[in-house]
Amino acid sequence: MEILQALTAIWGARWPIMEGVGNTLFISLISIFLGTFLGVVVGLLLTYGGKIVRFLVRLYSDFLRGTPVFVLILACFYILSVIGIQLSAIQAGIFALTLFCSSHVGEIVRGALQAIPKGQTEAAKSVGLTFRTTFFSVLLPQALRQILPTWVNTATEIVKASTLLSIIGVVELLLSVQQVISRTYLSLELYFFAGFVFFLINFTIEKIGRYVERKVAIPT
Amino acid sequence: MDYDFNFAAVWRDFDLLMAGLGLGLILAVISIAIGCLIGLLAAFGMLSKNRLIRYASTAYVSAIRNTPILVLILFTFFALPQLGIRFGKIESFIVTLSIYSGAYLTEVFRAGLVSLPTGLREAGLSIGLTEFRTKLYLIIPVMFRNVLPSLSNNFISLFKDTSLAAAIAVPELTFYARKINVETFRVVETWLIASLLYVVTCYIIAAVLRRVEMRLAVPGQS
Amino acid sequence: MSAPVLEITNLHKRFGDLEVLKGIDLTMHKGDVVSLIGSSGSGKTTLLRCVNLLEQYEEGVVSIDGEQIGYATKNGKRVLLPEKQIARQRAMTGMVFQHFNLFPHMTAIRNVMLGLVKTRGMKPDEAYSTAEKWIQRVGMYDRRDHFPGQLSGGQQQRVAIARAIAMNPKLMLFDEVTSALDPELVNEVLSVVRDLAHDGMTMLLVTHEMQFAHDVSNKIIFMQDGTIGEEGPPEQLFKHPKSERLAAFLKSSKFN
Repeated sequence: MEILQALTAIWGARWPIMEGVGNTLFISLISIFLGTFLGVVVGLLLTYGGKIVRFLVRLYSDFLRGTPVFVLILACFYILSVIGIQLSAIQAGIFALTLFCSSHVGEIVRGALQAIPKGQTEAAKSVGLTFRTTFFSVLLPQALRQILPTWVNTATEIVKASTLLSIIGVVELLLSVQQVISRTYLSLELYFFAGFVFFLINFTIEKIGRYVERKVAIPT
Repeated sequence: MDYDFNFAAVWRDFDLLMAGLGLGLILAVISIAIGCLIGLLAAFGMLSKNRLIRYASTAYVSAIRNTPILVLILFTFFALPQLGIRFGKIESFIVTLSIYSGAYLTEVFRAGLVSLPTGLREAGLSIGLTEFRTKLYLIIPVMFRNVLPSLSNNFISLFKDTSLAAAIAVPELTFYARKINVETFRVVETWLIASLLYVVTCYIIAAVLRRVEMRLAVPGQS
Repeated sequence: MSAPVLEITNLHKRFGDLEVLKGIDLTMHKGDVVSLIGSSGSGKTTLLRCVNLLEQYEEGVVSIDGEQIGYATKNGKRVLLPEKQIARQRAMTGMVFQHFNLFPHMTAIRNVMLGLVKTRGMKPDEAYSTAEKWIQRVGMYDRRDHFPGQLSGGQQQRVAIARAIAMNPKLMLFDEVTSALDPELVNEVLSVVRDLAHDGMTMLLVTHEMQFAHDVSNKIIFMQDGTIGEEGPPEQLFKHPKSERLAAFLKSSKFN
C-alpha cells in the first residue's frame, strides 16, 4: 500500500512539513501585507500624481507586471547580493513577492479609485470637505469594497507564487515535501499532498474573503 | 553601488535568449489553444443540467486554480510517470500549462456565457437550429468576441508562466538566463535583459491583441 | 443695506478654446429665487458650478455675502486660494446635483451628517439631531437608516437636498434636480424645493421645468451662448419674451 506508506512518510516528517507550512504562511503574509501597503501608495500616485510621477510609477508597475514572478525572484536573489545588499534567500524572495504584489495592488487601487463617479468628489466638495477628508470618508471606503474580491485573488496568487522560493532554496511547504520525496520516492502521493495543502490554504483565504465581502456589502 | 556594467558577455549569448523567448511563445500559443478547448467544455459543464458534470467541472476549476503551477508542473513531470504516464519535458509542460490555462479560461467562458442574452439561444432554436448548432454558430462566436479582452490577459500571463518551464529544464528564456548568469557572472546585465525581453514581449503581445480585438469587434457594440 | 448674498461680475469661463461664459453679471439678495433657463450648452450649469468653484474660471469675481470666492489678488496677480479656504467657502453654498451623488456606502442620515461633522465640526450627537430635523423636513424620516441603493430616485434627491440645506448655507444651488427622475417622482422633489422657497431661502436653480420656474422664481434668466440673453420677472419673460430666441425656446419647451 503506497498510500499508507506515503501517510507514514508524511507523519514521520510532520515537523519539517509543519515548518514548511509555517514558512509559506509567513512569506505570504509578510509579502501581502507589505505589498498591499506599497500598492496603495502606487495606486494613489497613479491616480493623483503629477505627470512625471505618474509616468515613473507607471514604468515601475508595468515593468514588474511584465516580468514573470519567477524571473523577479531569481533577479532579486542574484542581483541584490552582487550590488552589495546582503539578503538571505527568504528575504530576497519576500522582497520580490512584495514588489510583485505592490504592482498588482497598485493597478487594482487605481482602477477602483477611477471607477468612482466624479459626482462623489463633487458632492463631498460641495459640503466643504477637503481632499483628505473626501479621500478617507468618501473615496477609500468605496474603493476598498470594490477592491476586495480582486485583492483576495491577488493574495492567493502570492501564496501560490511563494512556492517559487523553493527554487532558490527556501524551505517552504513545497521544498519540505520535496525533501521527503527525495528520501522516499513517493512523488505521486506527496506532490498530491503538497497540492492539497495549498488548495486548503487558498480555499480558506477565499472563504474568508467571501465572508468579509458579505459583511461589508452595501444593502440595496 | 559599485558595479561595472559589461553587457558584452550577455550579448554574445543573445541568440540563446531569443531562441528561448521563441520557445516560450510557442509553448504559450499551443497551451492556450488546447486550454480554450478544455475551457469551453468545462464552461458548458459548469452550466450543465447534469449535477455530476457540474460538480466535476467546478472541482476541476477550483482544484487547479488553488494549486501553485509549480506543483502542477512537477507533478506532471515527476509523479505521473509512476502511473506509467510518461512525457518528454516539453510535452509534459504543454500538458500542464494547457490544463492550467483551461481552468482559468473556464471561468472566463462561463462568465461570457452567463452574460449572453437568453434571446440569442431562443432565436437560434426558433429558426430551427439544433441545440448543438445554436451553440456552435451563435453562442460560442458571440461569447468569444465578448471575452476577447480577458482572453488576451490570460494569454499574457500564460506567456509569463512559461518561465516556469525552466524548473524542469525546458530551454526557454529563463532557463538560458540562469545558464548565462552562472557561466558569465554578469548577474545584473543578464536579469535586466531577461526581464526587459519579457516586458517588451508582453507589451507587443498586448498591442497586437488589442488590434485583433478591434478587428473582431462587432460593429455598433462598444 | 447689507451686501448681496451673491454677486457675480464679468464672469468668463473657457474650456480650452471654447468660451462658455462670456461675461456674466448677476446679483441676488436674500430670499431671491432665480431660475436659469436656456437650451443645453448655453452655460447654465457651468455658471452654477462656478459659483461653488467646482469649475475654475479665468476672469471675473464671484462674491458671497461680500466675500470673494476662490481667488484673491496678490501683488496684482489673481491666485487660487488654498484648499482649506476654498473648502470653507464651498460650504457657504449648498449644491444639489442632477444625479443626486449621495454617498452609496452611508445611510441617508449619515449622508447628511458627514459635512456637519467634518466641515462644521459638530459633535456626532449634535450632527445627528440636526440631520434628523432636515431628514424630517424632506419627509424621509422613516427611511433615515436606508442606504441610497434602497431608495427611489425621488427619495435620494430629497436626502441630497437635506444634505445640502443642513449645512445652513447662505445660498442653495440646484442643478437640474429633476432631470434624472422618472416623471411620477418629479413632484415630490419640486414640492420640497418649493417649500424652501416659501421659507425665504435664497436659491439659484438650473431647470427645465418651466411651470415650476414660473411659479417659484422672482427672476428668470434666459441664457444663450454663454451670455444672459434676457432677464426679468417670470410674468414678463414667459408671457412677453422680447427676443425670437426666447420665444422659440419657450415654444419648444411647451410652456403655456
